[in-house]
Amino acid sequence: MTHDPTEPAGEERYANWDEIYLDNVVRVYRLLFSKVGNRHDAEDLTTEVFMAALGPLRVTASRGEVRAYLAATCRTVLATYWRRRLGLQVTSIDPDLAASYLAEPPAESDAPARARRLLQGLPDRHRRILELRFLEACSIKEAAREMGISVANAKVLQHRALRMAAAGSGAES
Amino acid sequence: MNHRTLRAARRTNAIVDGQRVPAGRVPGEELEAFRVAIALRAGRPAADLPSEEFVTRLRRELAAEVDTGPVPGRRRAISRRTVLAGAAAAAAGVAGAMADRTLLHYGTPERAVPQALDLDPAQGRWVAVAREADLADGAAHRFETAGVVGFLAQAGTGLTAVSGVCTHQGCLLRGNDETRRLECPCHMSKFGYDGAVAASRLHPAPAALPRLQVRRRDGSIEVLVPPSV
Repeated sequence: MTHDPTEPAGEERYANWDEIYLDNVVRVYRLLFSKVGNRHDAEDLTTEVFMAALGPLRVTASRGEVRAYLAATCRTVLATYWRRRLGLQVTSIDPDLAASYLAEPPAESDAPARARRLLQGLPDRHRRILELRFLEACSIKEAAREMGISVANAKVLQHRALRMAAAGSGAES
Repeated sequence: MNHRTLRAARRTNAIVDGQRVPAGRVPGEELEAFRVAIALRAGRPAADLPSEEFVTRLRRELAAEVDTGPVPGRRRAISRRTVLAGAAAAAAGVAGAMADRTLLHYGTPERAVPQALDLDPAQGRWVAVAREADLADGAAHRFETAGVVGFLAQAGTGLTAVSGVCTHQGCLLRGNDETRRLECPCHMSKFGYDGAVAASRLHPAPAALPRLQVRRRDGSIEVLVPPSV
């Protein structure tokens, strides 16, 4: 199928399912990863989203409709995931934001910026332990060595630092 | 560190180490810290890009799924089974008190004509899940409570409420308004609005959907469900 160049982007159609998948898989995965924070679950949920969309989603739907449908599916799949795993919804997907995100994902992920914002304003040592652990992929031992403290102290510091960052992020969630 | 703190730490460390989130309750006061942990971990540079291997594997699986006809003896890839097992566990969790019964069916596939079981919670309570007007168009109405997902419909025999979880492996069903069927995305089994199996390529066919008790009250439709989990 060829795309009519006079059609607005949202009205374009996909040629087949493979095209739907290739055009959207990274967007869907990134959206879900930002909500679960780990690769295994992000992969499972991405799989669920596409498998679930496969039946009801017609290839003849417009690009915009496909993305809106995928966004809605991401939302319910994530909600189900949290409910079964922890019994409450830890993170959720705003329907409007999800639709616009899938339609036009930012060129660069906004996750690093969001992480930096969360760390802003923490005392140096608290910020440092979280940077080492979360952003620089240090083990707790490595982080403790880097900071010149015991592993036990590093654990306590990490726990307190997270609670502190959480207290300061109230409006963010 | 006390017990609660240790559990919180385990959860956090799973996120840090890129592991799955362990199941279990998150106390309210830990919730925000857990959200922060997820946001921080997602902020690791390029962490949110899927691996080539995953993208390729899922592409193959979807292509196979698109092509799937009723080919006798066709075997699904192992990875697909894994996904389904996950989905089954997932749906069982969602279905709450319904899970035991669903799994009971799952554990006895040799049963020739699986019987429908009615969902009859020991400590049920009536919960309004729809307005009468919601059913006016004749289509099934999906509802969700803390313990159960299901569908309401005005069928030939009257008002019905059935579980929205496939009795085969626990995938969540979808309502198809045109065909008036509840369809399973996993193996294309189809159920009538009354829960009976309408079509299935599985042998033996899955059990009918558990029915919920349902009643009308002041313009609302209520179903008897287990207490909040």
